[in-house]
Amino acid sequence: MKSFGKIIIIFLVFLASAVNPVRSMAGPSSINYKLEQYSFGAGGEDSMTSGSYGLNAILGEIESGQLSSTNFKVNSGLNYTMMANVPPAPVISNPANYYNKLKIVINEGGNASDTVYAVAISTDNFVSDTKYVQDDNTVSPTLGPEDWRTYSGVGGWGGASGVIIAGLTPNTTYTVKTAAKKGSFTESGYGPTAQASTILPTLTFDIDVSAVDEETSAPYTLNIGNLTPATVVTSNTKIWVDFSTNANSGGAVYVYGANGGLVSTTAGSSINSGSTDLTGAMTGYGIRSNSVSQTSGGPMQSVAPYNGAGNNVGILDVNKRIIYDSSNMPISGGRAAFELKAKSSDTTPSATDYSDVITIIASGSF
Amino acid sequence: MLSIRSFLIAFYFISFLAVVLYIPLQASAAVTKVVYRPDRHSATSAPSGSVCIQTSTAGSETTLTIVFPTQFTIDTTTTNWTMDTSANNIPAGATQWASTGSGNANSANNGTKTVVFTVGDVSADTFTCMHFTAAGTNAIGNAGNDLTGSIATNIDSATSYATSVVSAGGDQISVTATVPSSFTFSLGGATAALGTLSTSAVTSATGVSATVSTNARLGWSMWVKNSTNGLYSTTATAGISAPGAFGSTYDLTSNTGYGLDVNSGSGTPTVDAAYDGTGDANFVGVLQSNFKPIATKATAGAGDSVTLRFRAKISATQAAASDYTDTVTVAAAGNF
Repeated sequence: MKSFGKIIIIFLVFLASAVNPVRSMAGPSSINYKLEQYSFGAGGEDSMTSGSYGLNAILGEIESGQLSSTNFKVNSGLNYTMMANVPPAPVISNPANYYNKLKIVINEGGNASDTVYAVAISTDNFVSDTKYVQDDNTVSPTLGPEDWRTYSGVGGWGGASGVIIAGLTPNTTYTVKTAAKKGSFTESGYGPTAQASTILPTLTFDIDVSAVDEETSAPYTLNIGNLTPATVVTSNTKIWVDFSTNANSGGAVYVYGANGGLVSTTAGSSINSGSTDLTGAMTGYGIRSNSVSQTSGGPMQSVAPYNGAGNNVGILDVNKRIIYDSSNMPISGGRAAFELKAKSSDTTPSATDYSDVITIIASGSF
Repeated sequence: MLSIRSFLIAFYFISFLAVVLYIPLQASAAVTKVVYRPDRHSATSAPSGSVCIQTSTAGSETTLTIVFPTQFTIDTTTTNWTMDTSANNIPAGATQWASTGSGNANSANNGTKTVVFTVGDVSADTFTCMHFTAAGTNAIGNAGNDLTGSIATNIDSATSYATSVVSAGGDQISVTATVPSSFTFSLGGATAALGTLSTSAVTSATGVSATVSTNARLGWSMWVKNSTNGLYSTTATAGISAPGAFGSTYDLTSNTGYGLDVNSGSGTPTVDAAYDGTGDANFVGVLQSNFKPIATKATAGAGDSVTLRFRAKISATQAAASDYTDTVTVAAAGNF
């Protein structure tokens, strides 16, 4: 209302001047009113002092002027009295070994809840590369009105939890800064910057062969032992898998065999592999998961048909089949173990050279 | 009412907005997932594996660019790089990425570790994979984790991946097992009573089964022999002779004598011709005092059996006695 009154006064002065310029020096007037004294601007008082502070300037609203430093800028004057506060530096981090993402938390800087913020992001500290975080949290050279978002709420910057900026380049340091506004003509300048870095994509993989959970070295052999006819024989030795990746969609561990079963060259015979319950089967050969764990992320999980109980086994043939995955999430310290089971029949030709070669591979979904 | 000029201005303005809005829409589309799945992680292996992409980028893919980790050795002979379309070589559920070129690489550069293939279009948001193999001097280098590369197409920007190389053979396990030899043999009975023999009719004892179970890879064999004197009476000091020479079967209907008929049972083993009568007919073979084969089977079997039937018919001058006796020994063995 105060501002509105000033505008009315200015308008009246202008009107009076236009109607009778000569009389303006004596003060604008009309039939009923007369403005005895007037000036442009909001006035102020110079060089005020108190017991502790002195002001070497005019206190009050002036028409124009700007105080600035490296990080802050004050646009003084009538039109700027409703500017949003310049947001302090946001908090940007890489909390989960992201290779193409970073987390940002806006700092409101005392602005009202309906204030909206924009985030500028750069790979060279805004020397020649400036992009903006979009409303879908990707980055683009264009800052649209939809990219100004409230601190929290639907479509906002996630409040204290922040949001994840996606589509970034691996192994790159990003600098971010934020600006705020609260209605038209209130946009602040960009505040101080903060930095965080993406890392390279990662994938670690290793296998071990042991009866207990321990690290072992290649070459790896596993003897199931004597396959007593009509008896399900389980290997005492297990195959352990180490798997970690920061792939956005996690990863998977695959397994495949060389023969589709245990093959004896001497006997010219094979014990075929299949997904079945060996308890009721005449013969068979397959693998079954024993354990899964992880340090963080994931979780690591065994996948059908390898996640059965008892003597239920999954097929081991020449096709690469997923035995474990990380639940479509990045995973750290994944560790899993599986065992082999086989069963011969009374008529399975005897031989000491039944064999297969199991290959284990892993990949990430980046 | 809008004038024609106003209408045209509005039309052009709306068209301009549509173009302006459409360009960012295109720019926002991107690769959503890439996968590099090696066939082997072993340090001694040549690079081979599946390369997959899922993208919403508008346009048509025509080339695939694979950048391998820097430690890979890339054979620059393009014909040493082959793209195949075997369905089993790509991850289950993935769409096969078509090859629209020769199947060999367009280019292979060891400096940039880059190999380019000519490929077909990828349908939007469809997980699409190809499989490649490499020959020549290609190698994936030494063991190491977090080895990075990238996958791109002519319209899809490069997206990074990571893979791992393990020590030679470190991705494989040699599995062995033993199926121990097994063999069981049994006779269904220890006696075969012929009873009172006749000069006019053939007398047959109740059949005695001989059963074999074995996992011998070449099957099994069975033999039989009898005592030196054959069916002999100590009291009468007389024996009932065979109907003929060993090697043939004889029909006791028209002959006298004593012999053995062997019938095939469970597992259908093969009966030796020297004892292969015709079922329940009156044919017999000649027993010998040394082992003669009576049956064989070429494969392992469980509960394979034959039936031994002793038959006799006497002549009118055969000395009477009640103690005609013979001892027949049956033996079997697996052919491991």
